[in-house]
Amino acid sequence: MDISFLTARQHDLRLPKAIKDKALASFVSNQPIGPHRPSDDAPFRRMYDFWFASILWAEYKDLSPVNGAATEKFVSAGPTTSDAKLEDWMLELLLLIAVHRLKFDVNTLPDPTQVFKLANELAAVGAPSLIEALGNCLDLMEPQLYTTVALFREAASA
Amino acid sequence: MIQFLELELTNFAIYPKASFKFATDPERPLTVIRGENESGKTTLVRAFLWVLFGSKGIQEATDNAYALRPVWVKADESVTTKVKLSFRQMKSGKTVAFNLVRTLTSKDAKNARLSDDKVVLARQEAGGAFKPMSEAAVETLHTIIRPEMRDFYFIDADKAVDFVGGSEANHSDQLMRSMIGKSIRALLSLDTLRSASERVQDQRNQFVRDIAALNRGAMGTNQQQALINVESEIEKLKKQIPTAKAAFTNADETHRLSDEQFSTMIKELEMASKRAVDGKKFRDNRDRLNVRRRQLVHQLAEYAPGAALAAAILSPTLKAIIDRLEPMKEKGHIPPHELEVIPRLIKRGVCLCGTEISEGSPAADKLTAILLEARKTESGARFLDGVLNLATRHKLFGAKAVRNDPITAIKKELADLDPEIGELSAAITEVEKTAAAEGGKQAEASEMKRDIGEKLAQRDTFRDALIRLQNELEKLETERRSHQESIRLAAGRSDKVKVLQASERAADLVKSVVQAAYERVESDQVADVSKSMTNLFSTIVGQTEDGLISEVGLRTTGPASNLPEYELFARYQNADKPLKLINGASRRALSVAFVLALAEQTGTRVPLVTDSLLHSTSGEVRKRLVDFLAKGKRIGQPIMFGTRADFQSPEVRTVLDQFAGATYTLTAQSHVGADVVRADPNREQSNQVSICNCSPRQYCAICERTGDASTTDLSSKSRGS
Repeated sequence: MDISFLTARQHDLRLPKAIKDKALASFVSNQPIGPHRPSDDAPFRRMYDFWFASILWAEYKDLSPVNGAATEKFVSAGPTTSDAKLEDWMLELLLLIAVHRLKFDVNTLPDPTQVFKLANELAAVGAPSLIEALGNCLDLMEPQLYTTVALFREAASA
Repeated sequence: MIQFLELELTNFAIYPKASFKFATDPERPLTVIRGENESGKTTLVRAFLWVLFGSKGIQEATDNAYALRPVWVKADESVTTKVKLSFRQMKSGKTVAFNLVRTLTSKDAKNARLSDDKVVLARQEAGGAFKPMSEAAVETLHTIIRPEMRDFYFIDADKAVDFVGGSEANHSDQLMRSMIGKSIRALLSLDTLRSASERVQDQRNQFVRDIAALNRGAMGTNQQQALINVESEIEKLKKQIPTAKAAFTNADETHRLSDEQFSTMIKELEMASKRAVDGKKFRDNRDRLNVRRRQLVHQLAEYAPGAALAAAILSPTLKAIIDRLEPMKEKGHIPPHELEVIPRLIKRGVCLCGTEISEGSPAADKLTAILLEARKTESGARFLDGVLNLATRHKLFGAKAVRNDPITAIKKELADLDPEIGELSAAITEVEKTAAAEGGKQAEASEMKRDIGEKLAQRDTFRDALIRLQNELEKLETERRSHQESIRLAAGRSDKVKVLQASERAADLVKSVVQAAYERVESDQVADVSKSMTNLFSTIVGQTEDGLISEVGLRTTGPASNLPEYELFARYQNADKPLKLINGASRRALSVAFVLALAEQTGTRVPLVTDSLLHSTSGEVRKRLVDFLAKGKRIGQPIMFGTRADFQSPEVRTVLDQFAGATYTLTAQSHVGADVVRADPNREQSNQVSICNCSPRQYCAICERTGDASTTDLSSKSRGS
């Protein structure tokens, strides 16, 4: 299935500002400015990895998207070279989540804007929960990556 | 005393081979050799001179030995000339026989050299055999039979007048004094005393020179002052040297300690270097493990929000989608099959169930209505079909990922790696910490090395200074020793001067003693010879006080301080009669008187060979001469050469009969003819001399031809045998 239509035009990826700053400070290894942080301590390579993980966490926790939350764009996904190139499997899963949440049928075709709007809303609700979960699982003797993977593995096995 | 025993000649001038045995019987001491002029008497004397003195005995102007070569030998013929003189020496009651052999081989007459001769003196050993002696022995013989005295030992009467100054016509007082002086000084041992005196004088002069030389080298006061100065310098240096030595020792010790520390540090640095190698191994291992860890972390990071985990996490969502869409698919709503099937049915006009579908038919209308309705939801149906496929695929993927669970394995490997990496890191940290410390040591070592270099240079400076001082001290000590030695030598010289001065005085004393002895001996012996001469002259010549010569003798002339000269003198009526005014016979008598007086006075130790002594003397004088030689036992072994006429008088023959122990007669062809000489069975050539044992009173078949054989007093030998 060709899902390139989702990024045929630019879509902002957004997170609540405080969450975004915290994520950048604690969980993302590839920093937009500054040195690359070790994967052990920053389990998410890119900011949109954390963003996508937040969506997954919200879906896992079956959290309801927050409409109108104060969010801030951290990057855009789109066709230009300056846009983030989300992997196909990410776009496919975002589409599936949207199909599931928005109840598309044969009469209503998905709108990419709706898909990314839902994604940002899920991220906005999932990110704080994810950070909290990671904070709850924090073992000072174990790297954060291991904790994160363990957390997601637990989620996957649930 | 020396006595000639035998003279053997081989190929000598006119002698092919000859042997003369000389009289040695004290009762018959005379050896008489008779021969006319040119018969070989003088040649025989020449043989004596050659065998005894070699080229010195042959008064030739050149080295040519032509006179010795046999006359019968051709000029280009090689020949060996040989003369052998047997003699004996009696000394201190002991008698030893000797053979003196001189040979000369000449290839030809032109190349006959007197200097090519070879002489051997052999001494008779206890068993009778003769053993050759060293060449030095010949020289010893010459101290007894002295070459320069040959004219005395071998008197040729013709030459004997040289003692008086030569022939009457060519008188020379200088010649007389020379000949007389030479003979007297030699035979009276005055030469010995004179030379002893001269040696003492020379030694005394040497003492004087040595004293002068020693005085020249006497020590000056400045040498003493120089010694004081040097000793002062030495004292200064000796005070400086301990300080310099201490400085050097300290510097050396400091350097040594630093060097030891440096060695220790170098060892530690070597250990550090070894540890650094270990550290590198640790780092390599750690790097390798870290690479692996990074790989694992990357893999693990993939699972943080990765596709597999995401699919697994969304499994409920995916299930819900599938549950919703699968019925639709089963009903054929997705995808919209009608859009594919109905157009084909309509085109065929027959349904699958067999119902005819034609245009305008109700079936056809119904199908067309369905088709139109389907076309309205075609996009949605196709989309949902795609969604279903996606959900199905992700659900399967998620389920598979969970089943395989690679995360556990990755985490386990990471859990194993981490401590190992930690240990390596700790070890590396330790190594690096050590290395850092050792890096400091490296710098410290460099600093220490530089410091050691400075200390070494400082030590060398002190050492050089010490060596300079020691060298200076050594030099000064050498100088001091030199001064001390000079002073000591000067003191020694002073002592030596005293000894030499005493020696000089002793030499003066010895010289005066020797001089006195010389003068006494000279005075006494010259007086004795003079007295003997007067007696002999009177005896031989029969001179009286009333004659033309009343007194002859020997006296000194010239100052005593110089080498004295001697001269013969003749006096008449208490006044000197110049010798040049003395006539021939008296001259001969005077010379013979001198020779015999000298021989008598000195007790000549060697034979006295006289040639033509009786020549030109009257009969009475001859008798007295022969009588003196025969009876005058105070002279050496007398060997007389003379002519037939010399021995012709009955008185002489009577004496010879009584005292001649050996007689020989020489006969040459010039007197008796070549055929007569050839008749001699021992002769091969006519120009060879013929020798027989005939006495002056006897004649044999050969010598009788000389013309005197008709006299009445011939012995029976000549005629009968």
